[in-house]
Amino acid sequence: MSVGFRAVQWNRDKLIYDAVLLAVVAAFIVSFIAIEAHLHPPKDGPAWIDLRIRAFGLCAFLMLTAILSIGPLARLSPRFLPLLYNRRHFGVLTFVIAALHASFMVEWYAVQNTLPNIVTELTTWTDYGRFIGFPFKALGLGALLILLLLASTSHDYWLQFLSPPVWKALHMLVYGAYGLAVMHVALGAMQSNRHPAIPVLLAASLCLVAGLHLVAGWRERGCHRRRAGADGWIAVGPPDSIPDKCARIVNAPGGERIAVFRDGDRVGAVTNLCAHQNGPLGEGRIIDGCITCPWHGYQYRLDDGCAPPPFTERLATYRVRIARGIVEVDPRALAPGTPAAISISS
Amino acid sequence: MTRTHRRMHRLVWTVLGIAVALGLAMALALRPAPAAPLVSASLPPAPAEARS
Ligand code: FES
Repeated sequence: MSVGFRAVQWNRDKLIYDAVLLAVVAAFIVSFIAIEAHLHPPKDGPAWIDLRIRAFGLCAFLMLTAILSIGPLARLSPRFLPLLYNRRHFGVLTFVIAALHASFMVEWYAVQNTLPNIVTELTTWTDYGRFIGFPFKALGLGALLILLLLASTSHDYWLQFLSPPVWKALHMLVYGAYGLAVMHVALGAMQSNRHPAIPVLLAASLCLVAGLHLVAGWRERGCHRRRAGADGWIAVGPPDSIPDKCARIVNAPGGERIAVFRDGDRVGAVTNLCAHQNGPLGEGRIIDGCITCPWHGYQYRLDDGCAPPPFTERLATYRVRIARGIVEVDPRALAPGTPAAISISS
Repeated sequence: MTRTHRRMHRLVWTVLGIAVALGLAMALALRPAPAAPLVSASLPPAPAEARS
């Protein structure tokens, strides 16, 4: 990883990110409650709790939509990369807001001495066979439990303990949480409140998330297809087609991706998978002579894929050559840390 | 993301996207008329938003 940057610990950028995040979330919740209370003044205590339930529920849903949009947005434009950085704190805060939404719900029943109604609703098993009338609180509870699992394993300790591939697969459960949250609102609030804003919000959120994933996936498909030559080497393009201090990403025949970087007249190829969280190294840049991961700033030398001392991470590298003015890469990976970069002027 | 993750990611969000879009459309189409009973017939009535 980067010498000047330690991903696990706090730094100024993380503090700014978190402060902005907290300020936006607090402003949203306070504004929602103030506007709603002004338009429809709550009559009693439970009505005030009801207002909090809606404010926190809507906020958590919007945050979940934003979290799922950040990944494809960052793949479409590097301008969104700062949002990707520290996305884990965003996720943990989403869980906290969702948990508060649920706790206000419990409070609403508690102040009216009707707590057993929640249990009745969740355990009326015949209702699970219906579509309209399905115990939608169970869907919300399911989403909350997934968010709890993701929030509690979002620390780097769990990343190392589980290994990046397992951790990544586990954190794809966020899509399940999103699906449950949409249906929680569709079978809950949308059934009892006929305000058109609810279906419009759900449809817009779904279109945004699905649309961004489709566009990002489509763009990646077109960009990375390369055909291997008779000897198995893959043509990347003329050296100038690789922007200085950036990479072009090519697909190895097995499907794994290779990032071919150019730093002035040096060209080198490494796996596209960052050793930290499998972030897309080929979307990063060369900073201070090192390939720098766009997600959290881990760094690796172009020549041999090794992190600069005192760090010890190493990437698989690939042989490169210039044939008839075209940069080619051998898709058979070399052992991590093997020097393989070349100079194009030699 | 590794190749396996990319495949899993594509599969998960495609299947989930279609299922959720269908579920949302059905929930909208089958909404009861405003005066109809709302959730479980076995429960006493509760304010609309506190049910969400
Ligand atoms: S630095 Fe975290 S994935 Fe690369």
